[in-house]
Amino acid sequence: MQKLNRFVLQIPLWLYFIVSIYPLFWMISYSLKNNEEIFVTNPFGLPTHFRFENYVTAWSQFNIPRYFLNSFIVSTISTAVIIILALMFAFAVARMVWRFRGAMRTYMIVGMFMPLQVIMVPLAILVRDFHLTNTYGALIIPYVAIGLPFSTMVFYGYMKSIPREVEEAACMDGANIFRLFIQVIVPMVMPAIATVAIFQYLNNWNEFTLAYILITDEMMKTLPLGLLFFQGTYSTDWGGMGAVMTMASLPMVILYLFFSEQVERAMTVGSAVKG
Amino acid sequence: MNKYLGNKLAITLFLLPALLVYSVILIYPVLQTGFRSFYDWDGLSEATFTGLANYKELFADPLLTTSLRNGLIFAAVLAFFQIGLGTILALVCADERIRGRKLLKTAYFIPVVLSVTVVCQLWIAVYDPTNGLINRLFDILHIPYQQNWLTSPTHSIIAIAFVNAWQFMGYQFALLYAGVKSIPEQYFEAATIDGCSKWQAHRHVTLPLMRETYKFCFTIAITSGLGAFVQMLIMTSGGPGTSNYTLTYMIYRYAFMESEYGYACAVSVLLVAISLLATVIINKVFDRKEV
Amino acid sequence: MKFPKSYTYGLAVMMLTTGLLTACGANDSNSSNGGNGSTETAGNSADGTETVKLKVYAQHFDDDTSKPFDYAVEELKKVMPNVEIELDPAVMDGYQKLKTYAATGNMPDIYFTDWSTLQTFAKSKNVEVLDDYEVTNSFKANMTSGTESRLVAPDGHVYAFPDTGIEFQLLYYNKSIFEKVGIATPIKTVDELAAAATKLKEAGYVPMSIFAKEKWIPRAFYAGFVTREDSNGFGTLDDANVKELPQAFITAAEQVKKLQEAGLFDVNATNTNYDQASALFYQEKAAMFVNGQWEIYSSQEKLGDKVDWMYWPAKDEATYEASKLFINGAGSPQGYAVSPSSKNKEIAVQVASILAQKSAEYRYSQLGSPIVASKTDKPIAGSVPAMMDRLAKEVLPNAQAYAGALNNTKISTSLEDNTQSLLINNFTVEQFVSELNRVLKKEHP
Repeated sequence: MQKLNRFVLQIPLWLYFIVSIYPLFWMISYSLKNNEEIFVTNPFGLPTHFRFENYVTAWSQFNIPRYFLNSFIVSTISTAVIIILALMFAFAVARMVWRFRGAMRTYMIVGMFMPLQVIMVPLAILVRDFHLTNTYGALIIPYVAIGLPFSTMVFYGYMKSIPREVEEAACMDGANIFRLFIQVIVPMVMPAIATVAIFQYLNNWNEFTLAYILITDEMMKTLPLGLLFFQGTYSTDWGGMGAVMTMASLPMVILYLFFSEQVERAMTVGSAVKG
Repeated sequence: MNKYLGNKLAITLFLLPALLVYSVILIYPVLQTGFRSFYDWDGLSEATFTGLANYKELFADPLLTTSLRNGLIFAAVLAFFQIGLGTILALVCADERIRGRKLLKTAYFIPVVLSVTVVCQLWIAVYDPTNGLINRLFDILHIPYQQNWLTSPTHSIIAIAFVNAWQFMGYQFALLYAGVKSIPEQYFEAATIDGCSKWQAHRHVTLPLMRETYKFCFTIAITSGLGAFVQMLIMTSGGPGTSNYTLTYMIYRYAFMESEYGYACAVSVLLVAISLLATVIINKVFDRKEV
Repeated sequence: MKFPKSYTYGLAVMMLTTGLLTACGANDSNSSNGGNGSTETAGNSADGTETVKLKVYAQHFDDDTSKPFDYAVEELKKVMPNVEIELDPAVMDGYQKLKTYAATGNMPDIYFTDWSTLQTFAKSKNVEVLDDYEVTNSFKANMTSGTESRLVAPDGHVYAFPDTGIEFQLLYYNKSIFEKVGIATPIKTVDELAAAATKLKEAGYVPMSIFAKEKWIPRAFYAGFVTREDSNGFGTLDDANVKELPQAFITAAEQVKKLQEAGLFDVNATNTNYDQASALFYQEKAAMFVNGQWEIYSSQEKLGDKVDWMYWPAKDEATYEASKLFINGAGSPQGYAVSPSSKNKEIAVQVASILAQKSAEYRYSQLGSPIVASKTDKPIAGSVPAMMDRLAKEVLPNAQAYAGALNNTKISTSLEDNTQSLLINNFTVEQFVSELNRVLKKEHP
């Protein structure tokens, strides 16, 4: 009886499961259709005729491997830098003792609320003045700055919940503050690091607006900019866009599947350390 | 101990890199925006100082009322749906006895991985009044509730907010799940041994311990609701008319369509101020509960 | 537009010298741009003449935009072999990227843009005023009749060389559906159109598919009715003395509302994009379609003889007959402009003019479009669609008036917002009028 009960209770979980993975299926079928099927005849099902030519067109329109490589480099470096800087900053604000840390925390939040649309022009001028135009730095540095508020906030939250005794013990052991940070605190917030890493990687990978405005060199363009090749004056090749989006998203899905395993492990380790 | 954690050199070293990048790249343009909000400026030509004129005009602008109302609705939908559902799913997935929880956990995050464009296109199709899934479903179930989901000037904002809420529920879910996981098992076990039911234990032990996580989740949900933009741009282009405008949409319109950069800056300042206010309120609410 | 050979040679020599001079004399205001400056004067080519590299920012992403441009570049090589074009392809982003270029002092030598951007650039000195250039005079002399407003701005200056003529919208309809349902053509009055809408709807068709998610299209649809009442069209609203919405505009709004209530549009009209709307028309699920004259090509291709266009109806037959040759399109400047910071400004102006004329030549000779800004002596290659032929014979030579341009962007965007709203239920003509009156009062104090 209890078994049946639990089974019934789990039905909503599996319904939501379907609602969550359907878009993946939809995106892939979308990328194999033409406009007519997408909009009128068959918006939701499998394509009646698999139009692999959408992928062929995408492949011939622009240098996919190059765009892919650029996206990879930009996302990886930005994410790594964001995590290191945010961890350090959050540690100083959440765990160390000094006067203006509250103000500093607020200061770090302000930038998160600023819409990209309005800082884009001053940002473009900065990028020019730093001689970063058409380099990876033109994207990496803004991505790092934009990623910092969110990441520090997450790390701050986790670090706040670490008990004081941890530091006391480290102090007794005679560990200096840097060792405390690297060997004790960082391992304890592993779950948060894994979560933030996924979030930031996805953000940077999918970012379109800044990449569009700041990059003009064909050799420096990132994957989302491939979408531009399918827009027409009047008509848009939606299937082709679907192909680009699928090619951009599938690696992320696979990476996530692999990574979520790591996250889970990191979490178990994290709570083991804490306990 | 305080001396140990008050090491000035260490503090400086920890803060400096992040502070430098952040200040130069983000805060400097923010300050410029604040400065420009007092000017009549098209973004390119010579600017004329006009004092508070932009702000006076802003508070008389009927678009502001629409935008604020939509921002609040958007924020409410995000907070309610994402955090509500996110909490339930996080607690369920943390429960070792649920079969397939790993699979579920991974699936719930999938929409986040996809790009906003894909998800918006999907929902445009779902909301279509004649071919769309929702109206067809109502039809099959004989529910006479056919709606023009995206063309209603009053309700479409809710439909759009729901798309955002649904797509990024996985975000909040992941944060909450990590929060649940970081609570030492013993706390929860102790409570269940004391005779609490599973849900009681969560209510009295797990959730209060996650205060920081919740503070953060609410801040994210509410401020991203207030500043929402892309979904409206893709799904309805802010229409019909201007009924789907938000503050960011206003900024986009004035800065790029009407070349009123100074005015757009004033709207940005207002957006930042409102978001900060929301953050302060959320912090106050959660800190009071500490008592 | 063919240059005599000797003239071509002289031109090349002349430009070469001016090119050298300007290259030497140009002050290096863009030096802080690092490697991304706008112009480079590259080394010598094999025959000893100097190559001039020009950066051109122009739309180049599909057949409609890339073919005329590529043709123009090929033709340019014949006339000015020393010029090398470096294309920076633009997409439709409301000229956001171009404005960023202007803000960062990184302007391309030549760029293609519209009137509202040109206005901003004129104020901020990011566009070269072309009034006193020799080429401007020869360009003007070679224009097709009635298109001067594409070149000369309302302020009397020339900022850009246009390629297309004055474009306007047409009401397309499917003749065979009209016959099947029993609708008499031509439709002359709004009442007839409303009755047709009801009939078509009863017969299971979408009476008119309209991609009103793009706000300019409901605005253009509305403009058609305004033009029946006032030949100056939206241009009337540019007059600073107009502080309240004139009667012609109220009548037109009432007509659009009446048609909406008669079921002319799909319920999802304001959220329909071009691809959805055109698919409905081409699959013969919709009986009418509204778009610019450029749609003639694909509609003829997809529907053959079944499709034709009609004039916008009016309140009664007399008005219809009197006003059907008032064209709802307005000529405002647009085209290839030159940046004042270009190091080879003189050459860039020449090139801009040639790009515009040659791309017009392509549109005329290859596509058979009479809607071009400059004349060409190249014959039309291939057959011209019947609808285009009708347009060229029936309308263009007999056009009685073109609408005036509306330069005020605030009034213009307000028209877009509110005409889109007219297409949905629960938005009344009163709301429309009061919204526009509010904007007019603010803009014309």
